[in-house]
Amino acid sequence: MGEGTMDILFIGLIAVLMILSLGLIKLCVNLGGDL
Amino acid sequence: MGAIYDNHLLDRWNFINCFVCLSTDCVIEAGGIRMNTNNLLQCFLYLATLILCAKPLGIYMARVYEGKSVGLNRLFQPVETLFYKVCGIRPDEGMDWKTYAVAMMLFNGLGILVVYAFQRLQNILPLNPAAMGPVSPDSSFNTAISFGTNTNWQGYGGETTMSYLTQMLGLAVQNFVSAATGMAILVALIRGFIKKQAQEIGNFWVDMVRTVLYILLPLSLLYAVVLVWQGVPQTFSPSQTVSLVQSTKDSNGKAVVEQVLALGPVASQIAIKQLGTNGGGFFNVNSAHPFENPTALSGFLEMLAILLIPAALCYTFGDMVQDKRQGWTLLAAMLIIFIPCLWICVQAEQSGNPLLTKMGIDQSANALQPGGNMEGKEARFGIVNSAIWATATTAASNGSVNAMHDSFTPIGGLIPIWMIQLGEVIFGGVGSGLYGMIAFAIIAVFIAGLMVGRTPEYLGKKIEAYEVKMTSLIILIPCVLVLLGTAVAVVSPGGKATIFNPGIHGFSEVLYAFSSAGNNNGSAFAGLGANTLFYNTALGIAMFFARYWLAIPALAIAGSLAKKKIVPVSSGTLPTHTPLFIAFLASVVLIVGALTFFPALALGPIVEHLMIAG
Repeated sequence: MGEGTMDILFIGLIAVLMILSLGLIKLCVNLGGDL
Repeated sequence: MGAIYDNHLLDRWNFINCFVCLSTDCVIEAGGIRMNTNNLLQCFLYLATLILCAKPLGIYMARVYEGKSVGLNRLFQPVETLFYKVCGIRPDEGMDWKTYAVAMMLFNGLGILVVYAFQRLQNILPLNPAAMGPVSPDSSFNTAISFGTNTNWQGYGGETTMSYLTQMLGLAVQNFVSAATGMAILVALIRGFIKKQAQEIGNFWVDMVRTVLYILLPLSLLYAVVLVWQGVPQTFSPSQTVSLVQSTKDSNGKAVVEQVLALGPVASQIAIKQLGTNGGGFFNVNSAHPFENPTALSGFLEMLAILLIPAALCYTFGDMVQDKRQGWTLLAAMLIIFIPCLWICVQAEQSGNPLLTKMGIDQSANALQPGGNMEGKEARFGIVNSAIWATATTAASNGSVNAMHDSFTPIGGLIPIWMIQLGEVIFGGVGSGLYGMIAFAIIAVFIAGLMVGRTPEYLGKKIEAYEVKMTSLIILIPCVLVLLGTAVAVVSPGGKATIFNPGIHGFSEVLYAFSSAGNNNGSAFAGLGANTLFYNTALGIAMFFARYWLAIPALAIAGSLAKKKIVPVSSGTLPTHTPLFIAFLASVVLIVGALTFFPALALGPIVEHLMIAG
């Protein structure tokens, strides 16, 4: 696998981790009602 | 150049020898356990200085976060105001917890991407005198998350991998902002306790800017100047080739007469690395390197810096909630776990290796030898300074090392692993340690409430189902990351491929690596080849979740508490400033840590101890 492809994969992974964390914020909001 | 450095360091080492050899002939023996006056004095001096410094710094930080005038206002206020103007920040505008959390995530996510880019592009960027090539994508991913999350796990060797620009603008900048992020989250949580029926928990940007400008920068500057005075380099000069005082031979029998001394802007990075509980070294061997930690004084000050802000934040907490006893309570709960663990670690190392004892080798401390287990330790620092450092760096989520934890005795090595596994709440990272301890305090009042039928309240705020759910996330997520990560690593080909010590010691190394990443510590046990696609990716993901998936629930608790009324103290209120509560809180921390990790520890350091001592 070329380094360019690896870069795309790892930057994509960072983006996925960020989206999951924003999802956790949403989950915490839902767990507590409208906090 | 070389001669200057040689003489300079020899002077320092003579001073160190005076310090570490103090009274080593005076040995107290009790039940086969050895403790000499040198050990006792150094442990006492360290803890006494730490506690003495906690109050003034704690008061100062409380004033900074309350927006009160501090001595540095005249110097930094224009910079602060200019920063807000340029960035379009309205400092008086408060944020609810969701906005605060989103700002924190976006700022940190951007920081991670910037550090990734610095590493990948360092070969075409300036300040790269050694012409370092780009860092590999998987190592860049790991390092970017590592420094962004205040973990500072290092799968690479600094002096052979990173350009000066990457070290300064990538890694050192993250040392500041990742530490400030942890402190900002803590302050938001404290405001949750202070505010009455409010939505807002502060402004993330203001908390960040004030933390960096008024706390981290001045302290780091002061520390950096002292470190330069002690002999730590601060230069853009490239590495220097010097003649060896005594030539040696390489593995092929060829004479070696020269050595390359790596240099760089070291002091500025080391100061914040210790103060911000970051721990990422400029050099591969971290604080065992004479250019990171040249003297006994630098070693003492760096050890002090590791726990300084986490200890002082306890006082800040008490000051801000207007009940200083609450801050002392949390600090006392930390100390009653820390001190016995420190004592066990020093004893285990000073007692030496049981296998050597069986062979009749004298491992006692006397005028001619330090005694004990000196494997993997810098002769300059000896056993007690290595054991204090190891316990402090793992109690705080610092992760810098001045000795190789892998070479500690099994019990001596168990202490650092367990300190990490307790969730980095015994001092812990700057900010993150205390909000973790507050989470345990919430669990403690909840359990106490169930036991004695009192309403769970903490600092006048009712603890209800939502707070307990969020606290459970804070406590359970690191446990899952550590145990699941270790399990996957020891059964997968990618994980097993670079375990260089197979068997129980190899298991301990993997357990340590995931404990370190899963609790944002950053230290390594050594002996594990971690700069691989598998470990870079797996540990990177673990570090990310360990940081932000705890920070978000902590902010959610802050938001929930801020909305509540303050309940007046009544006969049904459990006092949370008494010795009983200190003991109860410490017990909760210990029981959770012991129950969760005892089976894994039994497979690693405990069985290793039984095998060599039995």
